Amino acid sequence: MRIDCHAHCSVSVGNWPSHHNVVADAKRLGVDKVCCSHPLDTKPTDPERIRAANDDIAAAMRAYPDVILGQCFIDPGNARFAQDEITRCVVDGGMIGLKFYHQYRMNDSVFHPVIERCAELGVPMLMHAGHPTDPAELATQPLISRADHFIAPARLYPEAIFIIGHIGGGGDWEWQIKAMRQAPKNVYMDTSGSVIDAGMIEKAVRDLGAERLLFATDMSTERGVGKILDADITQRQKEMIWSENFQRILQMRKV
Amino acid sequence: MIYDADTWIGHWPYRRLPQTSAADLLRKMDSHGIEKALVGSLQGIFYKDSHEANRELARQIRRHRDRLVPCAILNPTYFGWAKDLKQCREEWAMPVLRLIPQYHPYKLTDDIASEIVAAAHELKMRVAVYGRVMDLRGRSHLDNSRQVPTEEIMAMFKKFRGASFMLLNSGAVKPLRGAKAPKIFQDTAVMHGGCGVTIEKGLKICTPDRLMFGSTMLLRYPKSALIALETVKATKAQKEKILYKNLKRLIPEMG
Repeated sequence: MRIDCHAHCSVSVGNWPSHHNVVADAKRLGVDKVCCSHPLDTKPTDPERIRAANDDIAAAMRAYPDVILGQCFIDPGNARFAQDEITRCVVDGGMIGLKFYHQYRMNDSVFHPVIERCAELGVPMLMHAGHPTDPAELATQPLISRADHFIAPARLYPEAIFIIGHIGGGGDWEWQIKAMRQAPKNVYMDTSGSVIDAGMIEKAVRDLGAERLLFATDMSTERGVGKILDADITQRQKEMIWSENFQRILQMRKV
Repeated sequence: MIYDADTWIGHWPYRRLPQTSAADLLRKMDSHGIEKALVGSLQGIFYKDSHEANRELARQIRRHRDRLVPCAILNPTYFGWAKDLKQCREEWAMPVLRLIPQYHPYKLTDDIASEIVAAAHELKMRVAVYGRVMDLRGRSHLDNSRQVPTEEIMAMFKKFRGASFMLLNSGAVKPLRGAKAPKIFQDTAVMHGGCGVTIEKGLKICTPDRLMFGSTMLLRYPKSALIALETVKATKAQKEKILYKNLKRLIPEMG
């Protein structure tokens, strides 16, 4: 079993790849289930566009109920609307968790009501994250969350489940691993992203433990699958990363 | 049969690589069913006198010449490159010159670049240029390399009518038109990901006659590039061209 815990798709709106292509790609590479969201990268965000984006994911879930698991995108800056979307998409709509983009850093207190709600529902929160060291890259997303931005909220809410997005998303992944070592056990890291530097997965397993890593592609499918297949780690560790860790997270849901 | 157009041995100064030696490369090739490879020394990028790395490379692979075909790296702004190039070709039988203007102080449009390319052609060497060597989004503060625009690369190619060039670790570029237009052979090193479309796009743009398998190991995991080719929609004949026939035709020393 392989569960991709970080991907995006669209049915009718936005620029993400078609849900048909995402599912075909998953099948081609032996991925059984794909968690999909439809985040917006604007700030401020438009509630109507967020609603449309989440509706789009709901449509993808209906089209491929056995493959696509939905993740609800919210902007914590619009607190009331965020809570309503969680109710609509997660409680009533069957989405398995939340997805955040770089509107705010993970340690911003604006997230607290959302984290409390997710802890109450037992659903994971996946945050777009990274440590871009190239000034031009950082300028495009100045509020991107680094791994150390997860430490304070994860300590404050030990029952909440945080996922640091894409270790290979294009940044200093060694720095991310070292910073995550300071984070409590309710923080996980996904293995997605286009960067496939040799040794990345081995170092993450050595320093964090395979139990804290979650397989993902973020649509770099061959790279996401290839880096796990290639990693010099045990078969047991690979099984944990492919799906066991995320299945355990899914079992914590109370909705 | 698989031939790899794009491999490295040696150290990357800003990150520990888990494998660095010729023996490591051969083990990796064995585990992935790769028979032969063009190989360069990463030290050639970083030594002030790149030729010392060529000398090291010749020594490191001298017992493996049946499988590893060495590529020279020279900085044409460094004194004595013409004599060094001749030694690479005539004494160490290096059939390829890799130019790395990302890390060496010149532009491909400079006269000195044209001079070294012409000298390489005179020695019946192929010239390889990199679209990029490393993803710079997570660059070290010591890494002052520049991105080389595709326009700069193409401008250099266009100066050499009728010549064949290798363009490695780059997105697909359209073939140049005209009977005497330079022929551009590209590797598949970055042509994977994005819901499987990238390598298929590469096939369409570059044509099956100009595409070669390339992994960039030991810098990166090779499996991603391999599974991209395993799963691409292409005929057996097209895949064979990409996997070894095109490179064998371009570099007769590959055997």
